[in-house]
Amino acid sequence: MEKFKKIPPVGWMLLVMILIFSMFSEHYFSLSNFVNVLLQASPLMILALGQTLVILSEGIDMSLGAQVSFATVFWVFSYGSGMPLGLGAILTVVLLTVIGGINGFFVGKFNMPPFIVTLAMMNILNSISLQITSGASIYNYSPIFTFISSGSLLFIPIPLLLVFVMFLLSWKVLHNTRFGSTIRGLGGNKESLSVAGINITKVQVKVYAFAGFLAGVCGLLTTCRVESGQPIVASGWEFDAVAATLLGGTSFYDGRGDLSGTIFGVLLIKILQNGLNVSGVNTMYHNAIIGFVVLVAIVVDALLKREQNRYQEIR
Amino acid sequence: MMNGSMKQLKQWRPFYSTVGLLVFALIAAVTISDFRTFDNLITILRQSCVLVVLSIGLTSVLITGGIDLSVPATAGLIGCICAQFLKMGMPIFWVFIAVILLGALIGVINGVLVSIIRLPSFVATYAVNWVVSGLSMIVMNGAVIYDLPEGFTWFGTGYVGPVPVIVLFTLVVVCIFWFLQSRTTIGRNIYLYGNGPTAAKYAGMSIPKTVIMAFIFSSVTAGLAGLLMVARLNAADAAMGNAYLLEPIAASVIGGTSMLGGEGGVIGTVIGAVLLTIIVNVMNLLGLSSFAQPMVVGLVILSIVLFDSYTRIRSQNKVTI
Repeated sequence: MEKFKKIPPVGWMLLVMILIFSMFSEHYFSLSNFVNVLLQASPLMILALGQTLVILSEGIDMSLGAQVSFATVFWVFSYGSGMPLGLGAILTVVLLTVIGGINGFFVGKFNMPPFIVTLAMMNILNSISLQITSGASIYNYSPIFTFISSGSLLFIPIPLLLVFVMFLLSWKVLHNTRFGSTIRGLGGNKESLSVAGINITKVQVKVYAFAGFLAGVCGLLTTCRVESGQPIVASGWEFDAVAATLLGGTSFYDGRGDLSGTIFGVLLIKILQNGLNVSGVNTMYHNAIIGFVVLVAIVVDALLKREQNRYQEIR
Repeated sequence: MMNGSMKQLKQWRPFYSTVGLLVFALIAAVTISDFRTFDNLITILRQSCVLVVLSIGLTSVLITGGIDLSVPATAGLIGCICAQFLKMGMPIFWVFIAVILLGALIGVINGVLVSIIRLPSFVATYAVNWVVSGLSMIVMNGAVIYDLPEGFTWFGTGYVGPVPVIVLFTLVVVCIFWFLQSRTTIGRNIYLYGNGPTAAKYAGMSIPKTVIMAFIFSSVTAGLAGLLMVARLNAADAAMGNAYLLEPIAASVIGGTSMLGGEGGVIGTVIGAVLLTIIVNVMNLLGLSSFAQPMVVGLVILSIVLFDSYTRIRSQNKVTI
């Protein structure tokens, strides 16, 4: 019984949703459809891991979507101007890690509101991507793109392997390093951290840099999926990542929450989108329905948490 | 004496942005001949109206220490609904009433989610933004409405003498919200709550009422801004508000409203919004590529907020040492 209680509300919602969609459409409940959803969800999963870590540290990164778009543009552009694909990939990820670090530097060093800093960064990155491509998409095809986006290793699609590796990495960082516990501490109690002699600025730079690193990896994967560099391909993904994080039960204030919840959150959004598509609901209604489900899920989660807290206080 | 009033002036939060505005306008006027024409002045005022109206209500929410991300979608939805009403032949007066009521409704939803269910304002208003922008797609049925009654578009494109009606309208809205924010109990309660929620609670004020009122201010001004957008364009489109996510927040913050709450005001926000509009205007006059413009705006916001945070850190250090 205790174990059932541990499943986050989003897990139950997932089950209910799959049941409903299976009733409405006979094409829905099939392995190929689920693999399809997982593949579609894979870039957002990687991105949302970074957003979760940033949110756990009581921050927010609104530039993640722009970072992903910039990564696709930069990688394809560097390949087109003669750089080897592998070197370009490494350079892209390093560059985005640095960009994330700059976000963290402004937030940590000058105590600036993360929302404003990262929104400004979003503007700047969007400008750069649009300048590089003059507003259009750029194409420099390489067969490696197709291999990564639709190939598989030991019957497991490569994007899913990539998600798994990134999840493991982030999980290890959050649970098994000192850095990970200071991230939670930042969300829980900043003052006591700094009294304990921990350099808060450094932790914040590292969190945002790590989110940038994940955005870089997500950008590479996205490039392989769309096989081009697109300056606005990922606009709005930062919001989806925030929604997934919240659906997964991560709190904005006290450093509570976990990465596995976020994966469920992404799945919920993507399964909802896919289900609405497959069961033929008019696209006009999609946004309102998804938004409403997200709102309800967040409200229910907040109310449940409040009940739990009250229970604990009484005990 | 002189020194004392200078000090007081420097403590006025929009001081630096006002100086920045004046210096920037002066440089632009001296160097760009197209900038210093009367026509351009009117253009700037007209262009800034929508942003000014959008930002002044949002300022109230920022003063509570919260944020309202539903502003762009609210502006879009209410603009679309009132365009539909106008097409149905509803009189303009009733359309205005409908805008205010709808704005208040969305504000109440936001406020209840934040103050009673106690979701972080970022989360609640973001989810509401999602639903509301979805609703405006449904309202518009995937189409664009154009060719609205002339009596209505007069608000967006008409003139009284040399002054555009939209500027006068904005002036009236600014006066009303300035009064509400700084001369009424509810406005002062908003400041009190932003400065310290705990103190506000012990002072015996109703916290949900205060927060809900702040969100109502924000959504009503968003609705009015949506109306102005429709009147200016003589058309309504489901996605027309989407461009206004960053700018209203930036205008408030540039005008001296702190995102930590408790500080700021309507006048500063107006200055911030006009400053942003002038920057865009100058970039257009200089023929800067539209791709590069967001970068300039981003850098301006970053440097102003950086300056603000830096001075605040310094003044805090002074107090502790």
